[in-house]
Amino acid sequence: MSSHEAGVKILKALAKYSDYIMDAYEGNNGRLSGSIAPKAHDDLLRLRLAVMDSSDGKVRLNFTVMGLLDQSLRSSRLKMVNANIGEAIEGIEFLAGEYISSKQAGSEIDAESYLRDLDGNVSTLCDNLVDQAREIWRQIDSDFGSVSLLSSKIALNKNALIKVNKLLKSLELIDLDSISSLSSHDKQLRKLLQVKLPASIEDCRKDLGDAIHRLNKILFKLSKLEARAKMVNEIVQHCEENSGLKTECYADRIDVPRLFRASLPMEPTGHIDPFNTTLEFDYAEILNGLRKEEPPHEPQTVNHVPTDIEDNSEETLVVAPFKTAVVDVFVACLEREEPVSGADCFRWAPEGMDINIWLYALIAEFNALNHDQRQHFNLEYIGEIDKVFNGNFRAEDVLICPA
Amino acid sequence: MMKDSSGNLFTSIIEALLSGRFICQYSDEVAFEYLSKEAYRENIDDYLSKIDRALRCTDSEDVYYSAYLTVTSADRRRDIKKQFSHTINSLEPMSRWLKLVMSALQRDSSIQPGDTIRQGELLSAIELTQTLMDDLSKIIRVGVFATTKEAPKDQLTHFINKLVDQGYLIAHGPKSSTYTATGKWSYLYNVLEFVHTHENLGLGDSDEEQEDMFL
Repeated sequence: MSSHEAGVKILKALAKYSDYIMDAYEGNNGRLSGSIAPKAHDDLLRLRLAVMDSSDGKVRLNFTVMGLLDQSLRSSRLKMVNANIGEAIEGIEFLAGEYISSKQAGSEIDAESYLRDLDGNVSTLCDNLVDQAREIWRQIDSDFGSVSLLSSKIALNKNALIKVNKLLKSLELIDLDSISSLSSHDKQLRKLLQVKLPASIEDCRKDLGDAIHRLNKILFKLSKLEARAKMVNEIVQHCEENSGLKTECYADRIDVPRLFRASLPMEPTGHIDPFNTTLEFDYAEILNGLRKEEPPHEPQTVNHVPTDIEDNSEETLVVAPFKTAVVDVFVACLEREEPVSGADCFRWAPEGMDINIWLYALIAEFNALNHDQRQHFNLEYIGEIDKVFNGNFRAEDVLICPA
Repeated sequence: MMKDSSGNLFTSIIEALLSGRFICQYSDEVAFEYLSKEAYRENIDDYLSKIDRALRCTDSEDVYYSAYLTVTSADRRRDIKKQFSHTINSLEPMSRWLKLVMSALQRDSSIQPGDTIRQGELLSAIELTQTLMDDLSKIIRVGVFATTKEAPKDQLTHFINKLVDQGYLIAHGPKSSTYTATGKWSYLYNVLEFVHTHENLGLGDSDEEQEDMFL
């Protein structure tokens, strides 16, 4: 069999089993379905359009077939994912082709016109990509606008993630190699299709990659907040249903969970050690601090005490009537040689005197007597023990008795 | 607080940690920044390890605190139990409070570190609804936040003052009624998550919710 015949046979087999091949390509990541007809299965293996996977023993499409389909369907898939970008790329490819044809035909005017249009289209596509990435970042930076509810923020975040993923997928589907190959022999085209367009796509891809990272991070945080709120509600509900929150005492475990080992505040303590020489500086500082507060300034004045005796005449000391009355009670006791009641003698006290002061004055006078004088007297109290506070003796009178 | 006259941030941080403080960017930005650097963090941790303590942070790494390294003595276990008891006893009122704030301010997320709490706004919302006033009364009826105050305004002031005392809120000024939530809430959430998981308090996630987490 000639190679021509073999090739035709392979192409015919591709056409014959196209449904199986497309099912495997689109729905099963290249793996042939188990329900495939045995003949088709054998033919695809025999013609090496499919191979047996050594890792799992399943039959999958050959990489070349997969690559062929990837390449051929790229444009239509791009249009499906993102119609705007798909159409823009298609337009760019068309204009580049027309430009080359015009140039080859020697039609400089047409070529220039096509190049202008191509430049416009490339610029529009690049601006469009930048705008889309910028719009995503605007949403991220504004924390999803004025929305305050967590659930709305999460919904917007998810929506933005879907948009970014879609946009990234559409960028992946742009066949830069194919576009570059159009411009390999023309400087103007190379500038547009090998420099400007790929640079914009790469910038956009980088921006979107960063955005997707940030969006996932925000989504994780928002989901955590949502989970916390849910947890709080569940704990409160548990408290309502079980009249409180009772837990195991985790501090009793042999290995106490790290979370519950937070240390108690350490009480500030001070132990003075006067023999510790390292504290000498601190002591000195304390002393310096004490000395810093100087005493208030007081003007010193001298009052001269007169030393000259001008008058040496005798002075008569006047004894107060109260003192005289008190002494009289003691004199009366000596004279009568019998106990004298302080209460009875109260009439001797100066007018306006309180009886308690009078009685205390008698006691004070007895205590103030010198030893020789006191030995002539005794002091007795008349009264009774307090009925309630029986440790107290309530004296109602004082008796000055002869010894 | 932090920076003393000699500029020794290390000393100030150690003192703060040993006095039981939680350090976050809202309670002490300078100290938090210091602790964010691994080398400095290791210095602090080395020092604490000499007195059988360690520098710890929450899962979200937004607050640092000191914790015991080992539980070797009866005294240490007693301290841990005391702290545990205080933490656990405050979980119910704190959870109720978080829910109250969500309901009052019509939010679907609970208080997070950095959030601003305006007492006036909260009080207006609570006073509008009898249910919220009842919820507030329930929170301060018994336990660690108990008070005999009757008026919602007094009850709210009492509770917020307690939160300030315990380092959950920081007032914007000496007489301000606007507060910033500190990183200590993260620690509370870690404890709540632990208890929620280990005591099986959850009602269970639906499959759809679990899938969403992995988007």
